[in-house]
Formats: sequence, C-alpha cells, structure tokens
Amino acid sequence: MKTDPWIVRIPVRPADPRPIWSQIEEGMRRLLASGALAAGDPAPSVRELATELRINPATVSRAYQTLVGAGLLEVRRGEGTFVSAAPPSMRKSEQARLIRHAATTFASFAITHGADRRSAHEAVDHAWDELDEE
Amino acid sequence: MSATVESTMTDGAMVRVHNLSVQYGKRRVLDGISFEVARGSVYAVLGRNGAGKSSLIRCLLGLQKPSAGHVLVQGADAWTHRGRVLSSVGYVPETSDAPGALRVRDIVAFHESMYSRWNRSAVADRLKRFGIPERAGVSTLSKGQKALLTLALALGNEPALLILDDPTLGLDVVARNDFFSDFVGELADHGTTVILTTHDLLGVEGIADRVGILQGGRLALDEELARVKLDRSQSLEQIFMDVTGRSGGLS
Amino acid sequence: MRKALAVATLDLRRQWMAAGAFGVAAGLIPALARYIAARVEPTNAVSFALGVAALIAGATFGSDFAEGKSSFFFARPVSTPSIVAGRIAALCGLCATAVLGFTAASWLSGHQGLVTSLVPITTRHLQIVAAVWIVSLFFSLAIAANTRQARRKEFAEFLIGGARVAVAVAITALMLGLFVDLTMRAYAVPTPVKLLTWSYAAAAFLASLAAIELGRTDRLRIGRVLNVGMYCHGALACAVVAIAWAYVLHPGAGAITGLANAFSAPDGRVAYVYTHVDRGDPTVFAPAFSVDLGSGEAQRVMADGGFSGLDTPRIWHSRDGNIRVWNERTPLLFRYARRIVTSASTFRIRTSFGDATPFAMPEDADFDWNTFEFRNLDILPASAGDLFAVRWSDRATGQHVAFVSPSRGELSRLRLPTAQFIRTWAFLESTRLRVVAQRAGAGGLEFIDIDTLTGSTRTVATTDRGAFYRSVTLDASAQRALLLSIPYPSGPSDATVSVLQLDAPQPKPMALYSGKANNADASFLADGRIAVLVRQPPTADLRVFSPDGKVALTRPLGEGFSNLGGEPFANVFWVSTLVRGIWNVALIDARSGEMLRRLSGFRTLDNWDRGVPPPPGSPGAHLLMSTDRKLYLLPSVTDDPRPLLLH
Repeated sequence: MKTDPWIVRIPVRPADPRPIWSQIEEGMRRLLASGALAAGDPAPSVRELATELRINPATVSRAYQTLVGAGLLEVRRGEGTFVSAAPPSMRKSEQARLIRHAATTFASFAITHGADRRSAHEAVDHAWDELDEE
Repeated sequence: MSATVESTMTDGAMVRVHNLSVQYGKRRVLDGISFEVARGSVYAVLGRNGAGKSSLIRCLLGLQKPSAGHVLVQGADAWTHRGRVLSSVGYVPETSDAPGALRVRDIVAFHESMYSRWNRSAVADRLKRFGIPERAGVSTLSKGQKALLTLALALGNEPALLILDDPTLGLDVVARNDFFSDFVGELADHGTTVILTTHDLLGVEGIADRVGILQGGRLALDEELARVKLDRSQSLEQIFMDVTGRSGGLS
Repeated sequence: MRKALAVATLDLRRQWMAAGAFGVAAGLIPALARYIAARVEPTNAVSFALGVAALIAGATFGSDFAEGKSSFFFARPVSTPSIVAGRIAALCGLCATAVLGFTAASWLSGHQGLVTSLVPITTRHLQIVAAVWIVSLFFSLAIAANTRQARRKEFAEFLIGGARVAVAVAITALMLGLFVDLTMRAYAVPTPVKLLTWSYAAAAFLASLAAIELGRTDRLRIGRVLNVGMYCHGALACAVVAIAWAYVLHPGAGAITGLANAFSAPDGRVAYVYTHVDRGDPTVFAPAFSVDLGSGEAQRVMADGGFSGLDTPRIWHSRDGNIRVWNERTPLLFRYARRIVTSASTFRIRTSFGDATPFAMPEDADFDWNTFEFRNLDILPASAGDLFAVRWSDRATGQHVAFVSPSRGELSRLRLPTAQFIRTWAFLESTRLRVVAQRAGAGGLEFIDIDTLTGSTRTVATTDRGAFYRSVTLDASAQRALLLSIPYPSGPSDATVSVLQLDAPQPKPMALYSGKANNADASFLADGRIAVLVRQPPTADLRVFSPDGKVALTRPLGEGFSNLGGEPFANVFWVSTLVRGIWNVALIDARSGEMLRRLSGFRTLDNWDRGVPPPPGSPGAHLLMSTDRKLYLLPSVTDDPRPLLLH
C-alpha cells in the first residue's frame, strides 16, 4: 500500500494560530486513532518529519515528548521511536470531557460569529467528511 | 572565555545583544535594541526593508562597530574578538559574497583553511547532492546553486551558531526545498543555534522558536512564536502586518 | 600563517592572469618600439609591468569593498593583519607573475638568449612597487568609501566641507612653501624631498590599515578613518616642517662650526661671516652673520649665499660703511605674496642708525622667476645716502647701470655694451659715479664718469690695449687708480704696476715698476703711498712709492710673500702667502720695510667690496682667518691673535 508523504498525513498549517507541536501531536493522534499507524510501527524519525514538514526539529521533538508521555509512542533504545504496542485507550470519561470542551469552544465561536445551530451542524459534518477522507 | 564575560548573562544564551545602537551619520538605524538567543534555538528577525536587519547581522558578525551597546556571542564581544567568535559561526549572506572569477573548489579550499574544524566529506557530499560541480566557476552557477553553495560552506565547520541573511530570497521552489531540508537536517543533527532574517514569513513560521520584529530601529516584538500566535490567534504574517502598522488585517 | 596564505592564494588565483598579461605586453614594448625607431629601456618596461601588478594588487581592498565582497573575508575567522599580510604576499606573487610574463615575452621577441633577457630588479623597482601599491590601496579605499552618497547634503554641510578643504589647502600650501624654502636653501641632495614624500606614503599606508581594521565593512567609518589619518599626518608634517624650517634656517651663533668666508665692513667695526653650521648641507648652506668686533657678538643676517653657495656677495656697503644693502632671504612663499600685494623686492637697506627698509629695484633688472628675486646684481650705495647704483647684465640688452633713489625712484639709466666689463666703481659725489670698464679680451681700460641725474657719460681716461690688468684699484678719493698688469698663468712674465692720476688734464698711466715676476700685488696705503710686492721665487721684493710716484723704499722680504693685505695699525701692513697649504702672514713696517712679526697658519681677509679696506686701527683691519677656518683678531703687533666666534 502506497503511503502518502508525511506532509499530507500530518497537515501542519503554519498560518494556524495553534502551536505547531500541538498540530503535530494532534495529527499523530489521528493517525493512531484511524489505524494508519498500527501498534509497533516505526514512527517517523524527528529528523525525517522535521525535514519533510519543514519545521524546527525541536518542535517535532516536543510533540513526540508529549506523545511519549501520553504513552502513544515509545522509545526503544538503539532502535528508534515506535508506536506503542498497546496504546492505551483513553478513558471514556476523559475522552468525553475533551470533546465537550472542544465543542464548547466551537459553539461559542460560531455564536459570536452569528452562525445559527443548523449552519454550525453543517460545518461540523463538512469538516468530518474532509478529515475522514484520509 | 574572556575575562569580560558578564556574569549576569542568562544561562545557555548563545547570543546576547545589549542596548545595541547603530548610527550612520545622522541616521539612527538601530536604537538600543536588546535580546537574547538561547542555545539551540532559532531566532527569526523580521522587519520591513531598511528596518536595520542587515546592520544587526553585521554587528553580530563583527563587521560593524556599534555606536552604542554590544553584541556577545558565546560570551565574547563580536567586534573586538571577531576572529575568535567567527571560528564557530557559519554565515549565509543574502547574495553570495564570493569574489567573481573563482572556481567552486577554490572557494571551498579557502574556507577549509579558515576553520580549524572542517568536515570535508560533508561539504563534498552536499555539493554533490545540490548538483554543484567543483570545477565550475562561481559566476556560472544559477541563483539557487549559489545559495546552496553558501549554505554548504556555512555548514562546513559545523558551526555552533548559524547566521542567515534572507537566505531564500529569489529562490525557486526546488532550490528552496533543497535549502530548507539541509538546513533543518543540520538543526536536527547538531542542535545549531540560528539567527536569521527573512521576508519569507510563511516558510519561517515552522522553523522559528522566537521572533523579533524590527520597527523604527527598535524591537517592536520579541516573543516566543508559539505563544504570540496563541495569544493573538493570528498567523505570523498577520502579526507582522499589525506590528509594522499596515492597516487592514487579512481576513 | 596558513590563513594569510589562503588569502594570498585566493587573490592570486583571480588576479594572476591580468598581471601576467600586462607583463607580457610590457615585455613586447621594447621590441615594438624598435619598429618605430624609438628606444624603450627594458628596465623601464619592467617598471611598467610591476607598476600595473602593484596597482591591481593594491586596489583589491577597495574593489572588493565597492562590489560588496569585503564581507567574504571579514565574516571569516581571519584577523585583519592576516588579510593584509596575505594581500602583501599576493602582491609579491603578482609582481613575480608580471616579471615572468615580461621575461618570456621579452625573450621571444628580442632575438636574445634567455639569460640576457633577464632584467635585474633594482631598489628603484621595489620603490615603484611599494609606492604604487600604497597609492592604489589608499585611493581605492577612499573612492569606495565615498561612492553612493545615500542622501543629498545640506547647504551647511557644503560650506563646512568647503571651509575644511580651504583650510587644508592653505596649511598644505604654507607647509610646502616653507619646505621648498628649506630644501632649496639648506640642502643639496634630494633627501628631504624623499623623506617628505615617503612620509606621505607611510601615512597613507597606516591610514589605510587603520581604516580596514576599524571600518571593516562600514563605508562611513572607512572614509572617516582615512580622513583623520591624513589630516593628522598633514598637521604633523606641517609642524615638523615648520620646526625644521625655523631650526635649520635660523641658527644662532652657537651653531657655528666653521667659517666659509669672512670680510670686514668698510667702517671696520663689523665683520660679515659666511659660516658652516651644525645643520643643513654645508655645500649649499652658508648662513651669514654679522659680528660686532667690539663685543664679539654674532647676529644672524638673512643674506645667505646664493643657491650655488657663495657665488656672489649679498651684502654691499657704501664706501664709508654707513649704508648697507643686502638681499634678504625671505621665504619663497612670502615673496610671491608680497610681490603681488606690495610689489616690493627682497632687497633691504639699513643705515648705521636706522631700521631696515625695503628697496625697490628697477623692474626690468634680472629677475629670476623661479626664486622670485632679483639676482646677479651689483649695488653701490652712495655714502651720502638715498642714492644707489645698480648694475646688471642682460644677454639680450647688455649691461645696465641704473641710479635708484628710495625716495625719488629711478633717476637715470645707462646702457653699456656687455663686452665692456666694469672692473670697479666709486661715487665721486652723489651726482657722479666713476666707473672703470675694461673691454673684453686684452682691451684697455676706460675710465668713465656718469652723471647720476641724467645718465650722460664722459670718458676721463683710457689705457692702451693689449695689457691684462690683474687688478684695478681706486683710492679713497677715486681720483687715483692703481693698475697691476701681469699675465696668467703665473710664471716668469712681465709685470707692470702703474698709477693713473685721474684729475690731471690728460691722465696717462705712470709706470712705477716694470719687470719680470712670478707674482705681484699692489695697493694704496692709507697715507697715499703705494706698496708694491713683487715675487720671484724663492724671495719677494717690497717697494713703497711716495704719492707722486717716487721710490721711497725697496726691501727684499726674504720669503716669497705674494699678497698685500690691509693696514691693521698705523703704518703697518700685512703681507701673506700660501706655502704648501699653510698660510703665512707677516706685519711689515710701512716706513722701514722691516718685518715686525710673522704668524703661521693665518691669512688676511678678502675685501669683497671692490678693495675698500677698513681704516687702519679699526678692529676690522685686525682680522685674520686661521687655516682651520676660525676668525681671529690681532689686538696689537705683539699680542697673540685672539679667537672670535669660535673657541
């Protein structure tokens, strides 16, 4: 199966106000969640990812540190960085809390910008479709 | 380390600019700017044309005597200890400053004699990758090749500090790609400290840890990039426009 | 050092072709010149090749700078001294390349062997290389630093800049004026000029080095350092030249190391000495002093000998010694200015009781436009004052005698043929000048009286042709002339001494002595008698004649004294001679002819003022000069000579 280059699989938008390390972290999480990166697969090296994405390796490093701390990636000495054999599933309650938090942020944004409930729902669906294409 | 190292220097600061002023006759180009660049970080200096970026670069390299203030690189004053400072500095100028009518290999040989630490194989490897023949005359190289050559030379001594003055100006996409990939590779491999000036706001957004915006001879902004983007919810380009006073942000 | 060599290698790599090409071109020049029948010395062609190489090498800093390439070197960890050393090494390499190209081209085009095509490199070539390199370095930096005026200057800046340039030019002009004055008057060799020129070169070199180190890539700073450097040097050079000028040209009496010449003023109270001092070059510099014979004090008189040394006297007196005229050696620079402003000449008059006043010369007298002064003049002040006879010769227009009065201007003028050379002259009264002229070759003498108011002439007496008059002397009243004729070179020949009474109705020379002699001398004594000395080795005969020409005394002197001196004391006169390099003088009693005293190692002084001796008994008449060139005074016949001036 041909794999797309990292720059496509982990879209990092410099213009995006979110910190880049956070974008990388999120991208990696999505790949892990969707199964594109399976347990035990080698994670891209910091150098490789930084070069391809054209970002500071320190930033990539930081993202990886977070992921390692969250248990999604593990460092095997002498071998490299790999996806954790058994990535812990997030506790349902924790997941729900995070999603509710993100939803609140989105809803507040939509309301401030004069959107109604229906167009907000449409926007969510649209974004989901887009991301799901990967 | 020289005896004049200031003990109040922040730990790990590679470069410390203190109260730097540069004046040409009546024209004050830099007016008492101060900032620090931490070891291993990338500091991007932005500014409109004529904002003083080049003067700052020249002060960092010991090419210009400050009218006031000083620049310390690894604790040594850049002006008075130019030789010592520059032995661990790589410089990529905006346009190649190699005198014409010379071959690539002459320039490479010259650089090799200049630095006590020189990675000959890495330089040769880079030149091969960039497609720059050693026998070619410098003036026959394309713009992109010249930029890549200067990068290869600047990285040859595995510098602790890399200074770039608008390195990707006028380069095509391919050349820019090559440039960045080698540049980022160097960062990954050696944790080089970087100070660069640029107009390529988009390209530098991913690279810079910290950003300084020169405006009217002063540092209008000197912040960690991630934080300032978050605080303002803006891209670097928008922040730059705002700070330098261009009216009407982008939507 | 490895880094300096790297710089040198880089510079050589980019410049060797140009240097080599010019070397080859220069090598072809002598051959090409032969085609057009001109001659170019190989050594000069090599100079050209080396000069071009030095020009290219020296301009490197400036041209790199102008092209924005100077950061290539300065942004690398190589120190400025290393860069400069590398560039100097590159200079040597470029010169060698040029010479190689030259030699090859010269050999191939010259039909000579390779060895004979080699041109030796001399110090002159090295000097050219150094000079061209320094000039090229300095000016290329200056030009690069001054291009690209980023903004328009305000008017005030123009004014200030203009004022600064004007001040610099004025100071430089002043310095050069003093320098020229100093070198032309006190030095025969071009050493001072070389020193000054090389000091500028050294200053340009040091200023360039400082500009490179302190300015690096800052245009403004480079220009500023160059400016400051050269202004400082200019100020220093000014100060040094001014001090040297004051020091060398104005020695005090203590600086005197020996005398070149000396003579007494007609009044016998002052002597004038041309000295050698402890500064300057004695072959051209002989500062004049007046010595008060009463106090022994010497005072500087700015009437030094001409540029060729002591060619002509520059101090003239009236017969009674009351009026003195001299040619003041004012600094050349001021002469130009003064002449333009006041049209005054360099001549000064001083009476024995007044200050020096300027003296206007006739405008068409022999004026040297190089040194801005009248020259080759002969001047006779009239004793009554306010009247001067001025004589000069012009190749085109002949001899001129003009009568000039400071208060009344030029009174009259007379032209004589150049062939009629004036031997001596004296004022009769302030309205008449008596001139003794001799026609060239073996012409006779002509005694001419000139009316000072009208310039009309009257010939009083003439002598026959064919006689060569060794000396012609007028007595104090100018009514009697003493003529000595003896042919050169000295060897036994016919000597004749005759006296001519000019106020007689038909003046004819009356022979006092006629006979064979090797050498002879004759002079009037103060009381009107005439002394004649005739030398036939190994002895000499002294004859004294009464005023009316009768023999009063004849006496052999034993030794071969050949010169008559003045009368130091009443009725005592000097005779002197030079024997095997040593002067001997003797005092002779005028009445008995007896030799009163003999001194070895001394000679009497010349009387430059056409034989006007100081009065007997006056200190000026007692002066002697020793063989080691010191001035002595003989207080009395029996005392030992007392040294003056130098002890």
